[in-house]
Amino acid sequence: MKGLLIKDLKILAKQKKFLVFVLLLMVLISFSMEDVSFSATYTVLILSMLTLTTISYDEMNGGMLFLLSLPANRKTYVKEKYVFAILNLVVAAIFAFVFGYVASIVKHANVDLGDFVTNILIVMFAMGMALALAIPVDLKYGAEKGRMLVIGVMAGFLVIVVAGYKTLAKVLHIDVLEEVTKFLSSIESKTLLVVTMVGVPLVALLLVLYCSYLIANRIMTKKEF
Amino acid sequence: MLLKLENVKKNYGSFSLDCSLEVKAGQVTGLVGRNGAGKSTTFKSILGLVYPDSGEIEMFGKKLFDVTPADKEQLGVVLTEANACEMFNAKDMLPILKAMYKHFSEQEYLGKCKQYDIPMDKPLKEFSTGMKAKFKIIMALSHDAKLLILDEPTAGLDVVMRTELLDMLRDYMEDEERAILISSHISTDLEGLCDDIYMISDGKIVIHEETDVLLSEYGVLKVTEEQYEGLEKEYIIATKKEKFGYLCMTNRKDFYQENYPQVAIEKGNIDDLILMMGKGGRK
Repeated sequence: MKGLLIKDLKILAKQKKFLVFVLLLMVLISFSMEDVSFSATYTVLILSMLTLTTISYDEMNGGMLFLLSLPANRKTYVKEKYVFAILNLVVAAIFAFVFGYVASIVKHANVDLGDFVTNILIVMFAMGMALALAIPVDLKYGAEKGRMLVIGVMAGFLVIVVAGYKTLAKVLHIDVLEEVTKFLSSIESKTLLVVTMVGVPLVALLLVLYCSYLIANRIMTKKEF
Repeated sequence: MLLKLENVKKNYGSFSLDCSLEVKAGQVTGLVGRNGAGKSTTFKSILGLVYPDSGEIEMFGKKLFDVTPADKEQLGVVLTEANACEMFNAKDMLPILKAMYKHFSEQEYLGKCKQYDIPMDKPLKEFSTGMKAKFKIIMALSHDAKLLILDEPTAGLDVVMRTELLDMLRDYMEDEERAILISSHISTDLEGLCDDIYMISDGKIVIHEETDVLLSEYGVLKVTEEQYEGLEKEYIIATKKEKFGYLCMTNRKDFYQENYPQVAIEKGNIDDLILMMGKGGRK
């Protein structure tokens, strides 16, 4: 596992030009827009996708044959990918937070820290969910084919959510967003509110990631190279 | 016994593998055959990269299914199709291999890279074919492996590089606890290195013989049709029709030398075996 993690970190280190580009774009967005949270969410979004980049490099040029002939079996490979994805997500979020916070101080901007953190948490949750879908799909269909499929599935999912939201509003006259807001504002204790807002999505995300890990494991175990 | 395959079968549409072989400590075992004969499928089955439909594979005395990553540390592998990430250089690979293998010797790795002119800072994608092949062997040799599995490690190399590479393998075999399973389409490489040789054709093992026996007792008879009619066929293992008559592979060259002095007999070698035991050549 340690060897595979080092390998993935080395792959990231080789993306220097890309990382510098992301950083420059962050600086540019942070200082050209009023709101620093946009650049922060954008950073988490871009950096978290790097886990998928490592899968495409692993597959290139008989790379999987090489990795699996080392003392790493398929299960270790899958486990490492999820550990790396979570670490990547957390590090990207911390980086985005620190950068955004520093940018707001430099700009003397008035930032609502609660909103800022919420935005980062929302994008972390969304990207975690996206990775939970993308990792098994990439392992099954290959990184290139998998990417198109993931984009397709995510677009489809978005269409279903929006259509579902609109249908509920139209047919049953239920505005889900309003209901959720109403429910959250009915929670009086601040601690309970934070726990509900952070804890519930976090547990849901970890559960989805675990299911995704089990599926990815199954895919890799069945795969022949 | 470091490796044992017993009736390992794998079907791919029209191709089917049925392979049994053994690799003992202290021995270099060769696997020869034409392209598509089943060598790579055999290697991939041994490494668990493909799943055999039936049969047993044992490695280090354990069933393949029970072989742990820790057991795999005793294995050094070179596959033609397998490559480390091409963005990496030899320096990048060092911490990765070090973390993978408990017995990885940094000193040996660096020493061998220096000895065989492997540039430490050059990305692998800029390596020549020879450099890539040597580097793959160095990676496989730097962690005190007990068993080397080498699929075509000399492919695409010139004679100087092949000699260097074979010397590395001979040095490796100085420890008698170790063993190598190697395939190559350059038969002279195997003749000079292997203790025994398996010949695979159409997915089946058609010959298993000690290299010394193969080189001293096997031979090719060149006979006219008339001579062929009167030839004792008991020790003929393969026959091929030619313009002048027949080419016959024997595993008892001395028998024909004594009893048919008028027949032209050439010393057998692995190339002849592949040529005659392959498609269309068998008895």
